[in-house]
Amino acid sequence: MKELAYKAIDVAIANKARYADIRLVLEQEEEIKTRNGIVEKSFYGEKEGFGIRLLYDNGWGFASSSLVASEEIERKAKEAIEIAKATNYVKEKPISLAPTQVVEANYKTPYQKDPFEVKQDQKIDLLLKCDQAMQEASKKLVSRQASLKFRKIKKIFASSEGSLLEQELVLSGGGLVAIASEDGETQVRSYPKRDGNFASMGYEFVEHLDFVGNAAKVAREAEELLKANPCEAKETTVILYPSQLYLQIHESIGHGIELDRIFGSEQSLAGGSFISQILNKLGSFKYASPCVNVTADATLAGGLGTFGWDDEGIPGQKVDIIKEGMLVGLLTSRETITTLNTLLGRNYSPSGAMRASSYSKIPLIRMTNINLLPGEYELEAMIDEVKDGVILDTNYSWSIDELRKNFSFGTEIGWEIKNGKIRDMIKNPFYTGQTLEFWNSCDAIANKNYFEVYGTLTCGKGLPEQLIHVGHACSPARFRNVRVGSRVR
Amino acid sequence: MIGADRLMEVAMKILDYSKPRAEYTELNLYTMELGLTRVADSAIHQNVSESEKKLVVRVMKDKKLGTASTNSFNESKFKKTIEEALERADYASSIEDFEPPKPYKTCSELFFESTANYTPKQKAETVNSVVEKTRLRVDGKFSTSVGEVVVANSAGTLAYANFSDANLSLILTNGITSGYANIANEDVSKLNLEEVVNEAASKCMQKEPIDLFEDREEKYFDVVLEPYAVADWLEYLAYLGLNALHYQENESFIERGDLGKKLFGSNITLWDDSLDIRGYRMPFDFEGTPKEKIVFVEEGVVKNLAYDSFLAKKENKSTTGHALPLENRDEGAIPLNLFLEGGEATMNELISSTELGIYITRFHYTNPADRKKVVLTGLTRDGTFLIENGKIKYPLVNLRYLQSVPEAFNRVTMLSRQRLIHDPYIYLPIPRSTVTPGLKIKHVRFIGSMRK
Ligand SMILES: [Zn+2]
Repeated sequence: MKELAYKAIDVAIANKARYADIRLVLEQEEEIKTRNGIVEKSFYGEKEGFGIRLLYDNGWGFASSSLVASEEIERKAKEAIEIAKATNYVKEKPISLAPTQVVEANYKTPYQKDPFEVKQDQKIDLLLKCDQAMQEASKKLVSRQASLKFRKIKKIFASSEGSLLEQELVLSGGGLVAIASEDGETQVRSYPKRDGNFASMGYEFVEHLDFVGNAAKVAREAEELLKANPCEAKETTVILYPSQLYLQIHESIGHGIELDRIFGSEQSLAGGSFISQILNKLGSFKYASPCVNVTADATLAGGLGTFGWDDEGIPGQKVDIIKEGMLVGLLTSRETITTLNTLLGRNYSPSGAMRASSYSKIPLIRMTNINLLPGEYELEAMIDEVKDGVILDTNYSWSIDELRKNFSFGTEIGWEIKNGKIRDMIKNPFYTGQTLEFWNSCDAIANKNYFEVYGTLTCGKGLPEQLIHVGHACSPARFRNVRVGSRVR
Repeated sequence: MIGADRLMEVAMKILDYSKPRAEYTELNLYTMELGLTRVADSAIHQNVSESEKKLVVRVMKDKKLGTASTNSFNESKFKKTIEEALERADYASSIEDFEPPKPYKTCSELFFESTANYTPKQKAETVNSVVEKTRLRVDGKFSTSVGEVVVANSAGTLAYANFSDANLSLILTNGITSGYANIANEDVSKLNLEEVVNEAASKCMQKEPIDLFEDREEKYFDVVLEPYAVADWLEYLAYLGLNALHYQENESFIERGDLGKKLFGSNITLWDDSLDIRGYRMPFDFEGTPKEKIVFVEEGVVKNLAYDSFLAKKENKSTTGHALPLENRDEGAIPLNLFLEGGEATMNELISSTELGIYITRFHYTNPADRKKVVLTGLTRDGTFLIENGKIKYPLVNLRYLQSVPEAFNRVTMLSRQRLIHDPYIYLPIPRSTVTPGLKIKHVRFIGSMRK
């Protein structure tokens, strides 16, 4: 494999590339899904291939293929050169890459139980037990779903600068969904969230989630939601639990701090970022209230966005993003950080956030684990201080504008808070707000005992779209003066 | 491209190996070649080529199903893949609701050489001519791709198709406002560059946008939606509401007993037709059911839902030919080649007949706020204007809507002529498109704005 990697670099350099890298990737995936007591999907897939990225003058070229063979690597390296030449045909912009250390090393996700070694019947048995527990807990369910998914990604990265990095990443997780229905009303409850929860861990993460122990609760809550009152429209205090808060962080902090997006590279799809308008205030811009501290941490144990090196060979690291409410850091690459340093006259290093979703895609700036650090509060004390408010849990819907300013979210479930006590369950909760107002209205964050790690496999970016795994850890947090209501009338 | 003969030969070899080992085998084979040039701030910043293939095979043993995939077609790999699928079937539980579709054979060559042979250099030249034609900032993408699909099964189906796509979308910006336009064709030589540049440029206005939400109170407006915006809503309506899986799990707005009921205005007629050359073409679905025109809504009356054979069997119906690729089969059945009946009006006539309303070019980040009622939320983007007394008055700060689509489709007052909308962000060899008119709709709910 290493010989193939060097071959690509040699061909690229011989054809006058001024920088080149290659990733050779082998990916395994397993997915098992039960629906209403039947194994609906039992899937195992493997794919391998390579992608060659190179810089010729001031133009990038990239070519990939699923045929891992010496001649194909040579052919694709030459194709990438031709593509890079075409890139240069239109207005040139000087490109320079921030220096990096040349490294030869290995990284492997720490895990206890290789999920691909766990027997299929054990996995299926677990899912069918969950199915049965959901069925027993509620007679109103029209759909019971349980799923497990595992991924193992082996990749070799080699660059013309001499780095050679081998990584093996293991991702594990799954989820439960219960859909209850009666008299034209349908309600959904899931655990830990509708698309499941995932971590950079082995099968022990599945055991940790205790699906069987949570199945009955999911089913009962789906049924109870049918009879719950809709969330009342008002401006009020909101406490977000981690299975909603993780996506609030993702959409209204995570995507907006991607420096390629700030510089306009995603305009043709997902849009830009309002941070481009305040970029010169990086370090002194008030993003949130002083209790808010956010990191981008690719070293978080178990985090779905945890790795050894990014796909430019920069080490996975922990970077401060928001410190006591101030925006102090961004997600960056070797190219964008150079532009930023020139622009602001500073001396930042790349944050190690360039990742590609597959061998066939180019690396882009992606979230690692974007975490809201725990505060000091006990959850009970946080609720106790609320005269009138709502608790919202488990994401149902999401949408945010092209500059990451105006967002709206729906959650599966909520509870009213009256005079410091949790009261009735509410259904169809929906809230909307503006990023900066919202984060500046955060006045309490629960302590580290409530800190939970959430991961999603499907964060989308780029063209062709790349779906990638990112993580978010957080404790419940409280926000004042939030506009809530019902998603249906 | 591998070619029809060779790819069908691969499919036969795989079936030959699997036949003695399984009661039933079905497979999907794909190949794809994609070249995509992306533009930011009037320069090419991403320029890629992809060469992909994939085999997905599903076997049935003792009425139990197992699925496996690989991206190599060599013999040792596909044998290993079948063994994986067989082993998975051993552990699965048996199913009742399964009956393979009728055997079907076809070989449909739909691709255009012009698109297949289009080079990165030619794309760069096109981008350059756009940059030179306009003084505006250019963002966008230009892609050309060719793909092949084989659907085959051990009951005798062997269906091959190839196809091509050329796709150019632009966002032009003058620093104050922006405009979006897209053109697509199976044949790259039919793309009209002049047209797409002019369309996007016409949305760039030299006036500061006005924020209708300074008071922060929700509002209702009549809207004129361009086909881009309508296509967004239609695709969600189809995915959420016409998918038989969601109907069977009570997550569709169409409930039991609703077939034959009038749920939309009389001017709404919606169908799926992947044989109509006005859209992108695909002669069969991923189970190998030959495609035909399926009418979902006729003059407001719900006529049909989208089924694959598995979902159809649950209701003792026949498949409508909307099976998804094998690896996505658990997402239900989705119509991918939609047509909404249009009218005779031009977009200008939709504007000139509007006293007070909002003109919307397209939506951004649309998502279902409520799946069952198809309440969608999202923002407007790249061309939102206030219409006053039949004229576009000034640009607006992007607005957030929260609106049930079935409800809105009861309040359509005018329809323009149809046009093709096809601006994919996922490039699998699944030809999909929407052909739709622009619509004038009364009383649409807005709940906020991006603010200045
Ligand atoms: Zn995302």
